[in-house]
Amino acid sequence: MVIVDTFAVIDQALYAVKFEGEGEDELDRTFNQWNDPLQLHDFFSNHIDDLNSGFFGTVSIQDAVRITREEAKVLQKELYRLAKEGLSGSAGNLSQLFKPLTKGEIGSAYERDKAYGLNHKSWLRLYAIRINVNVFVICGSAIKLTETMNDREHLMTELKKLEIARNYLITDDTHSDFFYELSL
Amino acid sequence: MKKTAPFPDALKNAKKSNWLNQVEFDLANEDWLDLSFEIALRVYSKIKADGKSKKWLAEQLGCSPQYVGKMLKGKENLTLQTITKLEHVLGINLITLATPTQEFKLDLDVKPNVPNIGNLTMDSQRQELTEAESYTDYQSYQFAS
Repeated sequence: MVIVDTFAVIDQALYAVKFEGEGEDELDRTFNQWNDPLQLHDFFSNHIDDLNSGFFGTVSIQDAVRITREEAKVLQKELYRLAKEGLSGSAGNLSQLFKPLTKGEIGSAYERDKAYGLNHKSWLRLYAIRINVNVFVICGSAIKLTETMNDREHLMTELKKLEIARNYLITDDTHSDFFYELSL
Repeated sequence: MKKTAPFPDALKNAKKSNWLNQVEFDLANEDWLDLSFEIALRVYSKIKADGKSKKWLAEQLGCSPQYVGKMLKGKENLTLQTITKLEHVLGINLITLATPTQEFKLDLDVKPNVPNIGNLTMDSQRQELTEAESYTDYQSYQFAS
């Protein structure tokens, strides 16, 4: 799995990588998938046991598809708003949406981050590398129906993609100095 | 305090993503995209439940499998002709219109009292007809008034 290109969604704020073999960058691919009833129906059909394991209650495949798209619409709008606001220097910034992937990530450079769908108990995840308070590089996404990322293939792939993206961004910065930002 | 990475070289020559265009299109067309998505979902669920294929659907509709694929993405601005064809082929209801025409049909089913129709609303006419007051009589009255 190799990154073949980077894309600016909003200059100086939101970026996305493109992996070899994919037709689109990861942000575009993600929202196309979350807006595609066929792909979503197939995904939930293949993960019906996880869907009905109890954490999300009992949800039909059709309703799971509808919920995913509605949440994706809200997340898409919020991502767009925060990236724009952060760029203009107003109150909102992308750090309000993204959180460290694990507690161990907090404070590290090239932090691996995740954003949740905005509904309570959302299964949507957007994965990114944090460059600074309002610069993030999207490198994947998932519908996460299980508690951890380590026991489902599609989630483990996302962990790999995060690591690949992190290394890709780090190796291109070998001559630069790090700096520290104050957390307010 | 967070350790922050310098701006990566890899991002300095980043190409322009299509995502913003997509968001703007989705926002401007949200209403009909919602309907297109819901229709695609119901159509796909039905053909899966019936054990049919996209190819079968294309044959029934007399269109290409590529068009069916596009339609099932939920981003196609479908014509009424296509929607009604889908309804017939799959035996499902995809759109329901609350139009005066439909209310009129519903009122026919409850057999309104023809002689008193005058200027009153259809709802007020819901009374049982006698055997002699047939549906044909009612139609004649409608055309004559």
